[in-house]
Amino acid sequence: KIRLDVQSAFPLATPSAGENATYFGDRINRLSHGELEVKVYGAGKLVPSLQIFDAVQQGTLDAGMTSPHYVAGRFPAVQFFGGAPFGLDPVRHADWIYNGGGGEIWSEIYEAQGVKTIPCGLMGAESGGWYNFRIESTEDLKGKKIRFAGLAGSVMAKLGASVVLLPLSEVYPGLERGVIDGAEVSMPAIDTLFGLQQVSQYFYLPGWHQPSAMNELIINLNKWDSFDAEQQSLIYETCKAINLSSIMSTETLNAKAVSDFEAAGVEILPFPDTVLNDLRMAFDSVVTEQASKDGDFRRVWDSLQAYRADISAWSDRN
Amino acid sequence: MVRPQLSTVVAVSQALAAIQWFTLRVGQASALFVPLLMVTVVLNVTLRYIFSIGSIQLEELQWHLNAVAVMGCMAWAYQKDVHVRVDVFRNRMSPRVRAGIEAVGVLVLLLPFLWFVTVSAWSIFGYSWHLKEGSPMPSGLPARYLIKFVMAAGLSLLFLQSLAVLGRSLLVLVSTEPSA
Amino acid sequence: MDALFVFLLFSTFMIVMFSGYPVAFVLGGVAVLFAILGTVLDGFSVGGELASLRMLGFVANRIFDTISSYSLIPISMFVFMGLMLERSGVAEKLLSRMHFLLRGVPGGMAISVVLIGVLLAASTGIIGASVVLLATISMPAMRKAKYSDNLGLGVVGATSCLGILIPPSIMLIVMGDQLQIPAGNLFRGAILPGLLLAACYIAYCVIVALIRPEVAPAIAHRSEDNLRVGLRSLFTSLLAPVLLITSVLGSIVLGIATPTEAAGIGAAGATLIAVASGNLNWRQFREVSEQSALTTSFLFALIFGASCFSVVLRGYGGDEVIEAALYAIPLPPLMTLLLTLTIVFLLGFFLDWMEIILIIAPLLLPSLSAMGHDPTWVAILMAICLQTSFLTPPVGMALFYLKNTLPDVGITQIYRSVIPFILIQLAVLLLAIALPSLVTW
Ligand code: NA
Ligand code: NA
Repeated sequence: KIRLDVQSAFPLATPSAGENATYFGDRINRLSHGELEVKVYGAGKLVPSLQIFDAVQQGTLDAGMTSPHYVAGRFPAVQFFGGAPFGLDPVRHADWIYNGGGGEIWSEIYEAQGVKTIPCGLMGAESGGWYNFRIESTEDLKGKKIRFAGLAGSVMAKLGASVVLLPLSEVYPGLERGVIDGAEVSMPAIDTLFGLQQVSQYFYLPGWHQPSAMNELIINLNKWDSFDAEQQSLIYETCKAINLSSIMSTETLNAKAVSDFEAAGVEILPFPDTVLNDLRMAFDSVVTEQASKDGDFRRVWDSLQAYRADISAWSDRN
Repeated sequence: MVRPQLSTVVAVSQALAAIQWFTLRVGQASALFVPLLMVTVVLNVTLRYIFSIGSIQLEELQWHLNAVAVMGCMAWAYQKDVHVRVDVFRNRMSPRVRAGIEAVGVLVLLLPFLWFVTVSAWSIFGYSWHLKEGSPMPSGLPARYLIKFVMAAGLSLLFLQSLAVLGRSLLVLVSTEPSA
Repeated sequence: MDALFVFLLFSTFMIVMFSGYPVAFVLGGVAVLFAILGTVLDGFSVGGELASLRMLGFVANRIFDTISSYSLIPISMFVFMGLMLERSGVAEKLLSRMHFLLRGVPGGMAISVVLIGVLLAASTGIIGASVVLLATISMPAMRKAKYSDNLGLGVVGATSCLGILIPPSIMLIVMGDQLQIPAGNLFRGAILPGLLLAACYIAYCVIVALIRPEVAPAIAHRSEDNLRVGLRSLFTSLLAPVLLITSVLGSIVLGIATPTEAAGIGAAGATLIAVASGNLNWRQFREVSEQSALTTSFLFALIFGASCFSVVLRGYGGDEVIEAALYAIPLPPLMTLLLTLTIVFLLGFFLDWMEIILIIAPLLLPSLSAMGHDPTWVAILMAICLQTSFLTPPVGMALFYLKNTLPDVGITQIYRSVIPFILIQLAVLLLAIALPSLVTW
């Protein structure tokens, strides 16, 4: 009987991202005929979410259900797996990772660190963000204080916004009191839990900064090697099942949340095309800068572009 | 009771004094990071509210400075006996008993705690250094390993200082007669 | 079985704490000993949830998370601001003016202590400095005016604790960080209960002075006293701190700035006031910086120790034990809340706010929110309740500071003097339970 302690980077009650961990524990415990004993811990119970990777790498924690974004400071390249601006739609994102060569580079980067990674938790598009000012042109972003993370944060900064780092718990009061003018948190189903519709006037779509995302199950490599082939495949296939349940779990919830936002008096607006264009151009230059500094970043970006080219005969027309 | 040789006592005292001096200097230098933090916050606020310029590096710098002040002064705080104690009974204890408790406390509580934490702090730093880790924000501060070094070094300094406290307490124990 | 180890862990900590060894190190050390115990017992295949040495590997990760936390940055800034204001001599001047003006009123000097206490509370977030300041200035003056020590000690002790409730408050910042509640919301929620407490203290002083004039006698003003001059000088010395307090607190509560920004501006403002009052040179500036760094350091050390303790507690299944205990007897949500607050009150006899907020509160709050209670309200109720922990023997920080400042007073007399104020605190707590809008306005 092998025990596997898994800590989630998200509160277990969070739709999809958090629920995936509970789903994983339930299935493995049931399907492994008692050979594996998974114990799932909620966010922060043992180790802070940002440090899950370190703890797994050192073997103090067996495994984590987390997002590649949490290690962006160490391996900037993996942000593309965790969901990047102007990325693919969810099914193609998964296809790129599973069959298009993306997953191999991902595994390679982590395995050099002694960590096994398994795609585990496919997510749909996020909200384009909450704002208390109208975005009619790129000029409107200049000097505005907004909370945006990761590559998207750099894109916004490039267009003249003043990007603020704010803990998640400070977003609501920050918007309420005008400390910030806008913020990106997650998808509508999760945004609604923070009550952002009560403190924002405008809700923008599409979620250009993250049209899809893949979370991950990371396991200490020694621990992973201690499983036999059947157990390994059980874990791998369970994660594949989770990808489907994860992406399905939020479609209706998102729709309901957006209707609630509307009912609460929030104006739902589309980003103007000119703004989206400028964002895309800013993103391209951010990518070029990063790619010149980091070899893996370039490799992953090239792989993503190659996949795009491979499917373009179909995807451009569909 | 066996008295230690005077020369041993002198050598030990000198070593303790050296540790104390080092802790004090590091602490005094780190404390200046508090006003430095104040200046950084004021600068950040001015840029943001008056010139509408936001800098992620300036924001990150704030907790970096705070971390240096906190970790750099932790050992000094023990030297100056600033850490909170429950002194209901302590007030009535003789210096000898206090020294005894301090010695046992260092040996049984503080050193084991610091041992485990400091060892993993150094390995966290080592890993971060190996990866040349930076901020997860592309426009954030580089060299996050520096601050992980500050954490490991601060804990190690507290380890060193606790050895000095242990030595000082033992000196009190061997150099005073048990009260009649 | 699990409950037994959780109980042993807590009781060992409390017993060892009374040795007088620094609390932060006792927390960490006892936790490590129990992690060793768990590993050894596991070797003997003792069943149930056990902590293990491996779990200690998480502690350094947690420490890094603490020192890299944005929500804890205001601590050092607010400490700096409070110390700087003290150094400027503004508070001292204020207190003597107010004493002078109010000495003709029954209980007037006690009232002036409360009023200055509120002002101090609104400009600093820690209690040590305000106890010492209020005690050293007020006690001799009140004794000279023939006030009873009992009333004087009680007022000074209780009033100086207001600083940890009335924002800015280090306690609320740590609470917000631990419970994931915005510090600004906690600040807002604590204002009215804090002011209400102060009002009740004043009312108590007036009532005592009216019923028993001999413990708080009024002194007639002599004809040569110039009330107008007194009032004017009071006004000028009041100006600077009031300006500072309104700009700092106002910017947080109205939301013009984040807590960190407001704290940094406050620290800079206090420095300017000290410079303007001519009480600041380079040496004193360094002293304030060093004192702030040391205070912040010991607060963080407590967080580190408690963090280690929490990990080991979790290893022994502490979360499940506490949750099971809360749900063991099916009570209506309000009764569970009252029960929890009673536990917090009782723990306050032995523990400080730090240990209660770092270890106990994160275990209790999720269950209470799950029952439908507003987290901010519950947190403020705990904060009011924790006011008593400073004053209840045997472990009460305000009591220790008082005793250290006034060596000629017996500790039992101090214990007796604060009893009416503890009762007032409990009454305000009940009021805040009955009237949630006091907190959630
Ligand atoms: Na305060
Ligand atoms: Na107490």
